[in-house]
Amino acid sequence: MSMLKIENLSVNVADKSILRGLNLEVNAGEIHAIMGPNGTGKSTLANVMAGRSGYDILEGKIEFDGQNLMDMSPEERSRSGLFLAFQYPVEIPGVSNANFMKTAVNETRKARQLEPLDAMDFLTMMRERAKLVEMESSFLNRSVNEGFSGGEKKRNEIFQMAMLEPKLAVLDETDSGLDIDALKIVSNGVNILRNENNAFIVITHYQRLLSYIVPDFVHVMFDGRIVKSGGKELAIKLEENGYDWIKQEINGY
Amino acid sequence: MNKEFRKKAEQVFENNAQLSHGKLIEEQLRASAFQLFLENGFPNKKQEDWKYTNLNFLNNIEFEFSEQLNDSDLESKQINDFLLSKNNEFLLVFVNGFFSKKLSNLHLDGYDNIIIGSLIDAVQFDKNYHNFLGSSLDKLNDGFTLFNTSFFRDGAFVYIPENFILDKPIHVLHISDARHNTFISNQRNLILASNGAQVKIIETSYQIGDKPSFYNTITEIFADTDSVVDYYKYQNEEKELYYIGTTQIVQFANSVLNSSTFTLRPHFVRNNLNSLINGDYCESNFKGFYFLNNNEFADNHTLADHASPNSNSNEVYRGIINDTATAVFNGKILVRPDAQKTNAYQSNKNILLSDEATLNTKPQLEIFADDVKCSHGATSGTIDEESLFYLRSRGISEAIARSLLLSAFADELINEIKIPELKIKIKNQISKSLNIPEFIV
Ligand SMILES: Nc1ncnc2c1ncn2[C@@H]1O[C@H](COP(=O)(O)OP(=O)(O)OP(=O)(O)O)[C@@H](O)[C@H]1O
Ligand SMILES: [Mg+2]
Repeated sequence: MSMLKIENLSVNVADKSILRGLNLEVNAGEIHAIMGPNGTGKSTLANVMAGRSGYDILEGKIEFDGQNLMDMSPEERSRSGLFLAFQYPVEIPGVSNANFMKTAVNETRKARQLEPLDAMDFLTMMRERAKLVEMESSFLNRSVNEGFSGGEKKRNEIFQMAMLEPKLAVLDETDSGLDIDALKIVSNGVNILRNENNAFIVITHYQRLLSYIVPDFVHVMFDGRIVKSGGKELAIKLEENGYDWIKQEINGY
Repeated sequence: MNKEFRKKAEQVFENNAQLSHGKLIEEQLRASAFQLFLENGFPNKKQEDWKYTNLNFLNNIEFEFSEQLNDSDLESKQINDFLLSKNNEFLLVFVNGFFSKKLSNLHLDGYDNIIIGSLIDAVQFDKNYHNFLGSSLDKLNDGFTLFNTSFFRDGAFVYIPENFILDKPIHVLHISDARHNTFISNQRNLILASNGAQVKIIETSYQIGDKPSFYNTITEIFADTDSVVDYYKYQNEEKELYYIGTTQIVQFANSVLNSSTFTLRPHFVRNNLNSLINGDYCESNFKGFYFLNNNEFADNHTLADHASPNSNSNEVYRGIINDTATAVFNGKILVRPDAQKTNAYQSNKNILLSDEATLNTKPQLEIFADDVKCSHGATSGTIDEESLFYLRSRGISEAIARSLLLSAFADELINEIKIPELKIKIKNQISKSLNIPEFIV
């Protein structure tokens, strides 16, 4: 059974058709990359999966771990192992990163009928995971993303992912705005966390990231659909030639 | 004011005139206040300052005057929950406007030159103190002030001598005993901070018993040159207590006033907070937070009265309003012609959690000097949906995500509280009101 199965997904935003019959299947242990021009609906797909409101689902279904995602609230999706690293993480003044994660981890544990972590265990875990993305512990006491630089926000997303240990993580342009060192750190984090039981969908514009996080599949999204899929060499070809040849291919038939 | 109440008032006023030890203020002052009160009565909605304050309780409830101390059947353990700390505060307890020595806890050994006690004792000790009474209020002649001046019989008195830094806070606890009677209580507190003195005052008000009651209290604070006065109000009384409290501060040069008002789940609260900045280089900070549910009502009227140059006033009030509750905020900044180089800042932010919640917020700027920096802003909105989704996308339930965002909104004010016991008390109360589970705090 596949971990994620999206079938014929069509979504409107504000009466505008954005996703038009999208199909995607992801199995445990796999890394999928999604590439595609600006505005083709990559973030829309990620947001619909995470359960953000404001989208009209016209058609299709998303199955995650055998469950129908559409029936679940955003928190239920997260607790069942889905994680989205946002393209634009929000700033939340007054809520500390540590408190945020303590609440998230313990709410998730509660849903899985586990006892809350005690303060010491939690602190140890948090320090260890922060180290994974080389995030200084001072960031844990700061308000969520408030005043963080673009790169620090992205790193914070990966830190949260490390805390929640999802089955499927969708990284929406986590590489944008990262310098080379940060890119290595973030990719390294992902590589440490990956195993045969989890999976990643990496949305990116750059092949650069994919030399650190090597994908099993590369998909090209265009006009709300996945129009071409291939191996990691497809990313290299896109980097060299852009998207025009794909547009021609589509228009060809 | 109906005929019966008027008759009762006249009677009590006459009785009080016979009491020699109750004469805290000049008879003339008292008499003219009462005369004016009889002419004008209590305020009503036609008056600008009372436009949004529903004072119908004055007509609907038949009150009697509280005329003597009655604490014989009260014990310390009944007020335990109201304390901030057992030994780390000077506790002054008043029951329906009268000082209860029995319930107070002053342990003043080693504090030689300071005075903390009842107004009556203080004035008997040194008659000069009584000259201060009412002197800050000459322009405040609304009905409740006049009523208070006509009828108060006692209150807290604090005198901090020059350059004395008082370590522990002074807690003035107003208890409205509504077990057997439906009382109106008047109380007048007087705080004198001498040159360079530093003092922390906390005022709280609670009701015991379930009848309705009305507490009308005034605090006059004189902050002399270079003094620092931290003034807290903590209001958390859900019973049928109608509370109207005026605080009038007079600040002299270089003095600092830090006022913080926390109003959590009150039945009916009206706070008037006025600071007259009467010297150069003063600082006047007004902070406030209110959290209202059900049909609760909180009304904060503030005035930063800049009468001298080179001073700063800084005001931040925030509120969360739920259900059919009503909040009123009116922040007036007055910059008199001489008060050049004034900096005055004001902000009032509100989160409305229900369509039926009501907010009336109004800045009122009257500026008569030209070299002045003034800014103000008032907002009201709902919980930020983006933030809510972000928290939920990490597995946090919607209810807890809301609570987290709301307590973050309050925290910015709570974190500034300098009295640890008070901070903890307020934090706990807010967590409780917001249903925040224990593992988060
Ligand atoms: N709330 C909205 N109202 C109107 N249009 C929207 C809304 N949200 C998204 N869109 C539109 O949907 C389209 C797809 O947006 P989306 O963010 O999914 O693109 P993307 O593929 O992630 O692009 P990028 O590579 O720039 O991040 C865009 O044209 C965008 O303007
Ligand atoms: Mg995008």
